[in-house]
Amino acid sequence: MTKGKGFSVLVVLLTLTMLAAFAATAAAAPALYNLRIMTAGDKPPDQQSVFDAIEAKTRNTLNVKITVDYIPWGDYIEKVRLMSAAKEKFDICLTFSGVASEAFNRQEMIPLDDLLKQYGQNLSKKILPSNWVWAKSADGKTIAVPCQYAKDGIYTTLVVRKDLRVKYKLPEITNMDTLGRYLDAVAKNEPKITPLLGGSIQAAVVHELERLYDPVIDYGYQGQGYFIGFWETKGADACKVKNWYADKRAQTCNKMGADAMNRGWYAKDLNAGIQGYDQTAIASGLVACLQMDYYNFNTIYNNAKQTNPSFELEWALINKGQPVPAETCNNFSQVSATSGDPARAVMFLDWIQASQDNYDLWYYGIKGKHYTLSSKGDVVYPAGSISTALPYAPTPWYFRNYMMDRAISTDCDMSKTAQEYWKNVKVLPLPSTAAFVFQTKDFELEITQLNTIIAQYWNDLSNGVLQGDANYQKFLKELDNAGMPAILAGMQKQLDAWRAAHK
Amino acid sequence: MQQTCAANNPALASQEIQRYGGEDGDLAMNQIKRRGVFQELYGNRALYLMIVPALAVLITFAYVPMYGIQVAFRNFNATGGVAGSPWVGLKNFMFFFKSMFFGSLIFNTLFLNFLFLTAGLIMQVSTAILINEVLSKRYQKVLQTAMFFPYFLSWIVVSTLVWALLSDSYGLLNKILAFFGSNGVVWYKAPNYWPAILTVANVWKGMGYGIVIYLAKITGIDQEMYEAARIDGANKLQEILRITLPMLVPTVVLLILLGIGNMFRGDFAMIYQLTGDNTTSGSLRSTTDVIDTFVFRAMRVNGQYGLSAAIGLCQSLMGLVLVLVTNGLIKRYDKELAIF
Amino acid sequence: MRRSVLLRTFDVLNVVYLTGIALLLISPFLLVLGTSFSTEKSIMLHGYAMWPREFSLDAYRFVIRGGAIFRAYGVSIFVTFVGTLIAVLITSMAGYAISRRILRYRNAVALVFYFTMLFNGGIVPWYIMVNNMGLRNSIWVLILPICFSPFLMLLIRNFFQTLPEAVIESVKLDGAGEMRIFLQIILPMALPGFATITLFYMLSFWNDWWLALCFIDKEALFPLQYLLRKVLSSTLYAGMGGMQSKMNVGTAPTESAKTATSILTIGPIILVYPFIQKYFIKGITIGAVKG
Repeated sequence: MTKGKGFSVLVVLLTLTMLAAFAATAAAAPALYNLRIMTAGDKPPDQQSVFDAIEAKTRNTLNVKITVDYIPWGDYIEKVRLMSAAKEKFDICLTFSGVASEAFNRQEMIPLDDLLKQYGQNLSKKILPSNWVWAKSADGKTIAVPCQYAKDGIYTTLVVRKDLRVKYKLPEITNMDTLGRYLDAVAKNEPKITPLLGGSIQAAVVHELERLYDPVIDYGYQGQGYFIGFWETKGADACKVKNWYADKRAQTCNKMGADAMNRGWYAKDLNAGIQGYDQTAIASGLVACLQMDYYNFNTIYNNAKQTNPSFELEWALINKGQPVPAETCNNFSQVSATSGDPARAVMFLDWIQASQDNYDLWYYGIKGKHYTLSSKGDVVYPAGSISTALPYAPTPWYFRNYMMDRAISTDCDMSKTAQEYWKNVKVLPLPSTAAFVFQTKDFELEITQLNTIIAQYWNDLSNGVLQGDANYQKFLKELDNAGMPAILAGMQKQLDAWRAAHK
Repeated sequence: MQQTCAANNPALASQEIQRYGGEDGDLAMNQIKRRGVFQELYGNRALYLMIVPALAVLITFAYVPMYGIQVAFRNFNATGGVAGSPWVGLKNFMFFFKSMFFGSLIFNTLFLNFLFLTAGLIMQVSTAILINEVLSKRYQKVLQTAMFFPYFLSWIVVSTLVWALLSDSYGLLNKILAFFGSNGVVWYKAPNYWPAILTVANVWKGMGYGIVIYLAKITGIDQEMYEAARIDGANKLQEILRITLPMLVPTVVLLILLGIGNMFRGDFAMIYQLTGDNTTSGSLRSTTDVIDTFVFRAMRVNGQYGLSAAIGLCQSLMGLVLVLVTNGLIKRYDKELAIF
Repeated sequence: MRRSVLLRTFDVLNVVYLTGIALLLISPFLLVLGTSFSTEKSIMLHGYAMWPREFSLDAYRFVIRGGAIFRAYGVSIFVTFVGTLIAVLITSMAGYAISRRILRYRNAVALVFYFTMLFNGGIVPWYIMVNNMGLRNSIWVLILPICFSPFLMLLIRNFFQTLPEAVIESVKLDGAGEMRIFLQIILPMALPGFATITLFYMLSFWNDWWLALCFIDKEALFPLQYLLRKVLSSTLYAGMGGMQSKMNVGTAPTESAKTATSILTIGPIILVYPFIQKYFIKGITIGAVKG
């Protein structure tokens, strides 16, 4: 009798142990998680096949099922803000440099330091520290994952009409002087062409100024694209916050802008803001020189080929070869506070950077189906693919890491050259105060007012639409009325406190 | 005796109104007023029930969410939500009131809305009356349809058209002016013209909508009145002035009152698109920046819902005050013309 | 009776004036129409044109690509049809009720309705509530939140107020109930009013994209306006060269697509308008009812 009973107990124990082991292994592979990503844009073709491939590939590790919500560009920020306020569940979203910290302050997004330490090894390895600087909150927490673009010289790259330059026997454009001669020639001889499309000169000017004026400067706050305060990091006035618009640098901008306008380089209603023909303007023959970034060279090139094959476009850069200052990141990914599994979200972001295969899968699609690789490792799309209908293109593009990017065989030469240049360009070190973030909480009214005044005057002052010392003085006076002294004082106080804490 | 009858039989009561009419009608009304609440509701239950579906929709989608008005007094964050975010009292309101643009924003909003309302009214009423005078009914319909098309174009598209018209280098208007020997104007840098430009655009867009309303009203006017007037020897102008216009007065008053309620709300979509987000072309700010465009810009610095809620609440309150005053004044003149 | 010389002059001048205004109002639309059939190249070189210099269907091909647009038309038509039906019914009932002078609380009710035109609780609680009602991704979310407009109710009340109370009461004495009176007497007499709010509701349902933006993720339920807005926004941003992937959207016909979108937006609704116009006729005269 006892023998039989003992035997049954043994069987029960064995079964229990087996069940426990089963449960343990089941717990080790995570349950399938529905990852919801928000992005701006329109759904491109054949996304689902790539998502399915990712789900299959990560079944035993990451185990995510991806869904992407596509929101129209104009409504994107508002929609995401609304979703956060209504506590709707989503995991990852696209965000921008100003928006990221505001969203974090409103507790819509979570800090990522711990999660990155645990699950973000590839991210920390492959994204340069100089980019992480821009993804911090005022008290140093990491609040977003930067999208790592190559230096693209967005503020300084110019596209010009080579055929015009050759026509007037002008040398290659490499500095302000040669640019000036080109633009003068166009202004004088081509009445139907506007030499320069709005805002461009300031780009070159700023780059030139950085060469003319030493030491390195840092800007305290750059909301909506406008500087407010700045300080020099070396020299007698180091770390003293000053009004940028009262400084000689801004005044040089103003003079150069007035000069440009008087030499006929601009349209008279510059900055009307409704140009309409922005990038296509050069391909259609309306302008002779355009400021842009190299990401859109293919756009311009294709436009020109279609519209005016006789145009030859070339890329010009003021002070080519010189080291460039580090640029702010523009796009980031953030993890929502309403996410059901933030760890999984970070793991996913990490997964994309983990290997070239993963990156290729996300960015170019399924090898063999959507693209093939040339012998050089360039991406080759099927013959006859047109740019508006690629076999696959990822709308959540903002996980980009230019070091893992492949060249695309159909890129125009201009684009390839520029890409090579910017990949290898030397970048100046960040100013020592780069990590400082100005807290705007107590200055919202002043900043809004300043932005309004600056918008009203500065675009016109820096482009020669408004000229003369009287106007400039009026602008400075209105800035003071709008609260400039209060902001400068506040910025100085915060900067001093920050420096004391970061000795 | 009469009172009891009136209380129990609404039909009889109405008969009494008809019989008495005028002041005596009011007398009967007073007698009806002395009925209790439940008697009123029960007595006219069919009519009150007809209100219920609309009221249900309104309560669900408009009244229930009104608890969100408190956001105006809070510093909204995502964790706290509507009821849990920290209370800051009037701080969000101060943002607007302390702004150095406070005066010009209010002026621009009111001034532009006044222009839109007046110009729109005059154009719509006059055009509706004139269309009605066209002899061919078919051509009337053609005209009406043609005037409706602007409604379908979004401001995004219209802004491109306006730029094609007013651009300094490529614009049509300057080319026309050049033909007449003038130097042309750099329209996008000349703020003083823009109230007029915006008014034209606003009237242009709303023509079809307004004309439909007034034409619908005009067709409802009893033809016998015109015939009687013609027999009495009235000419066309007198017909219009003595019959048509007075019949349109209730509708005009209604639309004016509604317009007054919205006096403090700027037409954001139009102004934002046509002036190119007058941030970029800040040169137009002095005459085109309204409360709503300012709030939009402020929300870009810090997109905290409390801010927009506070300013929205101000706009509503100020509009309410205006409406109460105007509605009250109108009531003294003729009770039926008022909204409430 | 022959019209006098003065009157005939007036007629001619009137037609000339009105035609001029009509042309001013319709010509921008014709400009958009013509541009939508132009090649992008001719637009860039010569600007908008009423008659395309170079004819092309590229813009339409670009916007319609994928064919999702046909389903979107279906969604919009259904929503407009059903929504307008519901809306006109409940709005006219309410508007009629508060136009009746025997209703003691009509002004209080009118105030309750009008109040919501001035005050609203903001977008966040409204959004939360609609989500909580479980309406997300259902076709009813495109109808219910906008199936009643206090403005249109006040408007139709305005039409009802010109109807004589006498007629209504005399019919009531014959024993008719309020609903029957409403359907059999009021409706025919106030046809222009009904036609007006029917038209306006149809336009409001047809043009709405905001509800879809907030509450619809399922592609099968996208209404037309939302779909077009998505296409348009990605086109505009591609044209402006937002820092997207090197997606090479070089040949997107930006300007012509913008205009093609506008034309596609209008679609069937323009056919509805003449249909509604039929009802802008004199209602049955009072005399007919009295007799």
